[in-house]
Amino acid sequence: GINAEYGEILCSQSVLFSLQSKRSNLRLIVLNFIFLLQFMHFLQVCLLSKTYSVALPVLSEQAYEIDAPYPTKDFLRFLYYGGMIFTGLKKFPKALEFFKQAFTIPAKAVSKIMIESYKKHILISLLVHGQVLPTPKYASGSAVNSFSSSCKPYTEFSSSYSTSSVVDLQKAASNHLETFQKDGNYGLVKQCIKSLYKRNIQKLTKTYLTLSLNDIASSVNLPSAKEAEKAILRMIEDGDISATINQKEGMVSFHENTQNYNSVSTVQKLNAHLHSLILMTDKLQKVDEAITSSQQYLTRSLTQERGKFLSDLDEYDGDKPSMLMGMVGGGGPAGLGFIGAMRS
Amino acid sequence: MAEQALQAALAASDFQKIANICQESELNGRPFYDAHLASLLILNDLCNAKFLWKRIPKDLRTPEIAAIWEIGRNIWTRNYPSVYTSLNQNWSPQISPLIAKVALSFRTRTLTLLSSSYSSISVGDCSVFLGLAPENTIPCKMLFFFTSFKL
Repeated sequence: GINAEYGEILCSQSVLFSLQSKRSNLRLIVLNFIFLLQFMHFLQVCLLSKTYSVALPVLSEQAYEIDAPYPTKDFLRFLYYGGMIFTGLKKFPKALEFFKQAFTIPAKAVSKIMIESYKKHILISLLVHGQVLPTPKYASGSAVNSFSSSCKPYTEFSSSYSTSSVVDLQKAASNHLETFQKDGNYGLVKQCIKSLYKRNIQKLTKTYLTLSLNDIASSVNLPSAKEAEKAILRMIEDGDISATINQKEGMVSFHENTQNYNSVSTVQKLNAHLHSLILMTDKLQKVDEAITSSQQYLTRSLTQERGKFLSDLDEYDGDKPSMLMGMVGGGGPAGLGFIGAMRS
Repeated sequence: MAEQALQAALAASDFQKIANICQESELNGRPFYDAHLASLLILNDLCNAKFLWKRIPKDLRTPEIAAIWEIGRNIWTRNYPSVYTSLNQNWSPQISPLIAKVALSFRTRTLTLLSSSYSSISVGDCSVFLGLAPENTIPCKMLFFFTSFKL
């Protein structure tokens, strides 16, 4: 059982053995789009044993059903561990998805896991988007309130980031150094600072066609032309910028992004996206049908005053909650209550 | 069994396969840390190389494995001169061919990067990037352009 496996975790070598036995079980399960408690433990073992890449097949499957009943806390841990694995492998957009799912989970009481997810979400948002997008409306109110009180160092850090001043950002980082280190987020903080240099250089490409290395250095607060050259080379290597360095003249020429998007790999990516979209739409339709034919929904709709409600159902498609609001006449307590039940 | 598969993959220079075999073998309790680490460096998979290094138990970190990771650490920090000095060690005969491939793949990758990033670069800097003495840099670069088509 689980206890035996936890015992194994204590010895780092045998973590890998328990990993192997879990994996052979999981190979079959992964194909069925069903989320299992086991996944969470598997991720934990991967994290502890630092075999991050082995976790990827589990994380890349879409989960549509949950093997109920399960404790919410374990689902949160699944999301949190998944986010951490993606972060370790520098797959930041995926990490962002997982952390966001964690902190927007419907909740009255706020779990510490949600708060920690929110902190990481802020930092990774800065890395991916250069800003923290507003919290989604479907996040629970009590959660949002907890975030603003327990994540102050992080919100201050993200405000500094938006000033585009590396000096201010470094100050914010050192002001809250202890907090970031205690939370295990200092590595991400350092990556954010590096990314601000990159973003500031990228901004230059919008205004200039060519720029001297000296001007770049002074513009973005790098100590020398040589450092600017190193930074630009690094960005070219990572695909963050399209440019050519002329060392003799000490100049950099910025280019338009010459991606043609007509390669085989682009077509393959497009096909894969379309395929997963079709699957997703199919699933959504099934969920939609399940709700509209559910006992709860039908009971509510039958007790409505407006007779034409039932005939309206046939032409009914699109955004469920707002349509329902419209038909039930602005949503009295019964209507709102039902919408609440449907959302969670 | 794993040894045979590994030997076959080594002979075929199929580095992804080498990495996969080593990973499976590690999970089955029979690790080949040196080949695993070297193949990840050839594939330029530095994240996973770092995690591999971190999970190698301290008592199994032989000086040679540590030396292989040293190459990886230098690549990670883009310390070009140190990459080449760390490549230039006395390697045991089993691992020496793989290390040679690490050097070749790193040099090739760097040269590709340089040729698409620089319209002009000093011979001195180029030599540092490629770990060659200045008098060897120009012939080496010419050879590269003749043998590979740059888009």
